[in-house]
Amino acid sequence: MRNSQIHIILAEPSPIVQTGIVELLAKSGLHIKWYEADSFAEVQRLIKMEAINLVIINPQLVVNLEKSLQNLRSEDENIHWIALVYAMYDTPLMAMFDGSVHLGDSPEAIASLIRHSINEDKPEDSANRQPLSEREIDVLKLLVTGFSNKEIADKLAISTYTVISHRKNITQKTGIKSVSGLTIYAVVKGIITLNSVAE
Amino acid sequence: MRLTNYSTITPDTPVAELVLSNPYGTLMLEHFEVDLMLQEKTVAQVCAEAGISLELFLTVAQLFNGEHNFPNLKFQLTDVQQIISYLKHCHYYYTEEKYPQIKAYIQLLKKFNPAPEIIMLERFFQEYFNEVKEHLEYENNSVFPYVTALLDKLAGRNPQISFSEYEVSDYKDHHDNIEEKLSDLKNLLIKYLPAQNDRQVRRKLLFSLSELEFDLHIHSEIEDLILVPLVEQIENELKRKHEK
Repeated sequence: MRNSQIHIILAEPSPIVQTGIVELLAKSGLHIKWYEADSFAEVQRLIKMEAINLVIINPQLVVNLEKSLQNLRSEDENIHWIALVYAMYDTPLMAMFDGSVHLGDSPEAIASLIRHSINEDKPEDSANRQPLSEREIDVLKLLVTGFSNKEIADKLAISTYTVISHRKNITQKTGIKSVSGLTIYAVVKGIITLNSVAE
Repeated sequence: MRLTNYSTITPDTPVAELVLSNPYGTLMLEHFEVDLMLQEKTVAQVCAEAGISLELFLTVAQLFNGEHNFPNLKFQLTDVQQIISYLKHCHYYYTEEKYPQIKAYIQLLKKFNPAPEIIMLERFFQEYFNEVKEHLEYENNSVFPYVTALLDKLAGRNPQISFSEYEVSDYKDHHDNIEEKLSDLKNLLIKYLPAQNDRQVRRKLLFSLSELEFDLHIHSEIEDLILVPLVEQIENELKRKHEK
């Protein structure tokens, strides 16, 4: 991890709850840098600007914004999302998060969840062994079929910048940089068939 | 990461010791046109006998030793021809020896293991080799003559040369591409391509690729760290003269 400091966005409309969580976790021994947000738009802005590891968010802020949340999550798959719940939510919504903390949980329980979600990914080592994500496979397919970054962005309705970042991750995970090398990789892995290879 | 037993190489370092602890040193000597049977000769002696610039030999030897930081390189204009000669020897080794050898190994690999992926690999290499050849020819036929003409001009002779055509810094990007695809080849062979009774030939191919990769990287560094700055210096000097 980057100097073991954890960058967390705390997205919660209630100042009382926000302050309470920050205060309680100050004693946890975790080295946290907090970014406070009171809306989903603010979370989006912070993720673009800062190197965020974890988002703790009140699910109320994403009600009716499920699509935006999905897009945001597919753009950076290394960020963990934890729901901060006061009451029961319907399961489909909760399924969009990596985990949840309840308002009644002890500070120790919350701290251990944070520790756990951060230690799951040691960027360099595990990235090399992970198979490609679905989104990365989508990008790879289009790339080796001969589409440009811009065309791929249009087809998948994401930004060119996101396509480039997916390509970086693909190269990091596979060790292969050139498009023609990735084509061979995609055939070996059965991601594309031989006759769909761009001549 | 030092590749020989020497952390620094000085004019007094015995050349044979360098080659004994890092066999790639043989390639360096070959590009400098120095034969083996080195006996106990030091760097200074070898350079004096072969008429090689001491500064240049030491810098290249450090590159072969895994050094990448050269805070203050000071080359003379007289070194430029020697640098070009060294690079031309590299090119010859790549096009006449190394690439044909790799190509032959890939054909052999295909004979043992005619998987469609191996056939794709062969085509990948063929396209890549064409790119490399094009780049090396461009250096031989455009860059090197241009540099020689610059030197002539500086010496007051009057070659046919136009400055608006291009400047030498234009061609730096080519290298990355060449090294990238070589690394892709290694990755594919080591990690992904299905194996089928091709163990020995695959190993030979990998060793051959690694040898090429090592020498090619140093060749690129010599161009980027030594040749390009020197030539930019000449270009600027000529521009200054021109403005007066």
